[in-house]
Amino acid sequence: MNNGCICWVIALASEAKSLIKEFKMYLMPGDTLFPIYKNKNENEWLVITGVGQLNVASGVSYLYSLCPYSKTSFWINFGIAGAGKNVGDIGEPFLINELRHHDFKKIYYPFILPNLKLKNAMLKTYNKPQNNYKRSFLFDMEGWVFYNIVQKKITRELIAVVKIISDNSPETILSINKNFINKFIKDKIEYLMPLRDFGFSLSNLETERKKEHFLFVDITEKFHFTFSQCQQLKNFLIRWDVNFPERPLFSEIKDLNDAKSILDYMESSLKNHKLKWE
Amino acid sequence: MINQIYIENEIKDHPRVQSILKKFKRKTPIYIDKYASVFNKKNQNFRIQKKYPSLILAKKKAGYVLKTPSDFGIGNSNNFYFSHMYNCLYDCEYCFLQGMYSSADYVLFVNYEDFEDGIKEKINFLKNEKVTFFSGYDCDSLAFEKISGFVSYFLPFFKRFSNVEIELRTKSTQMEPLLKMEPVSNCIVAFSLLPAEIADKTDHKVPTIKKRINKISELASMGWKIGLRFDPLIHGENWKNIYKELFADVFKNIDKKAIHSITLGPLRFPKAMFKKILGMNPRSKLLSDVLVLRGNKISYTNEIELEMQSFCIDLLNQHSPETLFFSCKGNF
Repeated sequence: MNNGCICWVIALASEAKSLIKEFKMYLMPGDTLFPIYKNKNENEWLVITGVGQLNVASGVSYLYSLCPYSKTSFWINFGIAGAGKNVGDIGEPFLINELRHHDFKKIYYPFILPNLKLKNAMLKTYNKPQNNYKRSFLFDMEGWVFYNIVQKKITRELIAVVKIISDNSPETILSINKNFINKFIKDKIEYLMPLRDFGFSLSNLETERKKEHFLFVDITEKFHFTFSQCQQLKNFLIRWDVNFPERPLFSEIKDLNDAKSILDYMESSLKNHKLKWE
Repeated sequence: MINQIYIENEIKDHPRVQSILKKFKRKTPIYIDKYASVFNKKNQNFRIQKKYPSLILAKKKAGYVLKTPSDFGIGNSNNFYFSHMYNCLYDCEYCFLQGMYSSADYVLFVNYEDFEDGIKEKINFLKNEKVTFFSGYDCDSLAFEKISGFVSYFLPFFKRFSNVEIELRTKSTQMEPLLKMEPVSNCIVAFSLLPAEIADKTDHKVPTIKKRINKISELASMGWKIGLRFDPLIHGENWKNIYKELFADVFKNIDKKAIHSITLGPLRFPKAMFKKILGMNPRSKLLSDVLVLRGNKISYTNEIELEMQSFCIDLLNQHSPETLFFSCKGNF
């Protein structure tokens, strides 16, 4: 079973429209700070942050606090970007492999996901819209800030920035409008699918690694465990599974009446067990 | 095999970098200021990176040669190690590298000439004294040879110093440079070995024990000096029998005259790293065994450790003289 989750961070509604439709997401009801969309299974979330660094910073933080799986989700910042004339054509999607900021020295190198049919490029984030198309990179107003915030909370391999070139000359910028953006993003969704699948699988790996043992809640609800006893129990439960895959624990501890006797029983069983290597 | 290549700007024109790039013609490298801006950052996931490792070509700026931990040696009193590379192609569950770095990317320091100067400096300082240099502490000495050319470069250099030994520690069976040259009398090719039953479960992406023994046999018959490294010693239900079988297999296939040294090392993890390693690999059979905190290391109990050590030494004594035995506890 796949327990992965994706969190999309998108500046404009017109950039998000096709994704919302394709991935069958719906607007979360109620009074939310930013428009938040999610699918029926609640394993795909999307926030529309608005343009600019402050907006993306607030939007990411908001989605992080709202999505119950945010810590193990795969986070994608997706949207349009300007680019130097030589970088690529209008509508061409790029997986960003280097993130720079006009005002800050810090450079990020996002994890490169293998075997995606996406070209790689550098993205530079600015405070204001740019129209210098002599550059050899993509430019936007959110990407670096998105990564800067998410990497503080999430393992870096679960973060990606994908941009589609919307303008690469003073003439092309004039044709950008809601319908134009919506249409060319719709045409490029197929390029996002392998990334999305990859994101789900990495997020699933991380969820499996971090998830609590299924008996942990049952046992700690029944008996009082101190904080250190909880840590010990977590450790013993995993070791029990590894060492005694054919011995259901619950039936063996059902007659024990407190945390200490449960831990003592588990410890003694584990201590007396010898690993079988054959 | 290599997901992405990063190159430090300072060495982008280095001939060794250019030669390595020819082996990855389809990769477009990313140029960076320093390897630390990609490697070993906070919030990186070693396990995910291990699936898709990148190669970082960098320049080592200092600390070319370092003293080994105390209690780590094969006979000489002056022991040093040097690391031309961080991280390993292999993925062994007991490897401390998992806890040492948060990145599984390979960092290859291409300025071999600077390492050479650092080594020469130590040799000159310890004039006339016996010195051993160890390679393969932070990486496998031979596994990356096709890319790094490390052994091909360094063996002719070490050959010049008769009072110096170089140990190449490996689990690889890629022995091309060694098979192509005459044995170097002050080089010890040291293989890490453990029973096949255990290696099958713990040594991922590593040549099987059978293949390793075959390769040792081949090198031994050519006249290379062989080091046998039973490190770490791993406990389990039937450990006495499986170690007995391993030793019998090794000594049946390897010319005893070629054995330079045998070391035994206990399973041990630095305390600070163990939690990280366990967190990355919570379902590891090896790590779920009864391991205890002893001083600042996590290991088997003293009783188990001593029993294993003494049992193995007794067995090895039947095959090999005691003078070849060394302990490599490598206290932290």
